[in-house]
Amino acid sequence: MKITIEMPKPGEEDEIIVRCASLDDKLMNLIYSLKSDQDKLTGYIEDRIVKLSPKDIYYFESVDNKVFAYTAKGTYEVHKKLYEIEEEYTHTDYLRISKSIIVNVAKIAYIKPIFNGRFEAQLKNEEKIIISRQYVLDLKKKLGI
Amino acid sequence: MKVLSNAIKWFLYITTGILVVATINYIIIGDETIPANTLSNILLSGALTTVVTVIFVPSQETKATWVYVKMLLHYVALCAVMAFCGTKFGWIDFNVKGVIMMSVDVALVYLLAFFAYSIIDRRQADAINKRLKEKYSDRD
Repeated sequence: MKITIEMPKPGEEDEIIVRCASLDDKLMNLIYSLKSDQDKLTGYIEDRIVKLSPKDIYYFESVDNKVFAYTAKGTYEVHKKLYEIEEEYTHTDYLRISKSIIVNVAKIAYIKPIFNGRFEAQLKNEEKIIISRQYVLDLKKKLGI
Repeated sequence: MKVLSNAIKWFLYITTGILVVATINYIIIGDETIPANTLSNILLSGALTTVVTVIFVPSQETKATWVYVKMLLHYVALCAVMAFCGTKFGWIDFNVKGVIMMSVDVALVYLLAFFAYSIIDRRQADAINKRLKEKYSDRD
């Protein structure tokens, strides 16, 4: 694939044009990845509102009907349902790994099987989260295995 | 679809396990030729224990303690099914000794199935970790 980078004329907005015969999964993922990175999420912590970049979020977790986003800087409540986040970020590095967690796959350091038929993911911030067996196949698909 | 593919996997593991344990039993204590219907009986007991396994093995994530309770219940249910099959197929006499023998055999099959699963899980984890490194190492 040829990659061309052009400088816009002064005053013109930055623009990405995708010229292709067909939009395959790889291109779609690239487009969604660029788009989702522009779309900041709104996080709430105490009385503050913070704009969160999706690439900075380690995982989303649903606890007592509230959804929280975990980043290196802190934990923020997100006023969205977990399934909405799942739908919105389908074509990005996010993946549901259990009933209550959606993880940013790019933030997983490694995974290991644990005794009771599940897997444990060690994140790059040293946190550990559980991957349910039924979602391992989805993780393999996401990684192109 | 996932339930069906899991059931097929369990059936293959369990039936292979029963076959291995039956072979060991025949080598150690078998003093006569193996009856012709033994193979179909192994398949039938494999199918019955697969149904029990699909019911008891959690498909959705549950708390760790509940997983262990389910495993214990699963083992007891397997012993009950296999004691019934063993008595019906003439593998054991229905008495304390027979049931204990069958429980030991079930434990062996259980261990074989989990050993097979642990190897598969380890390989899956290795493949995933390799791909994670390839794909995301530049984002550290």
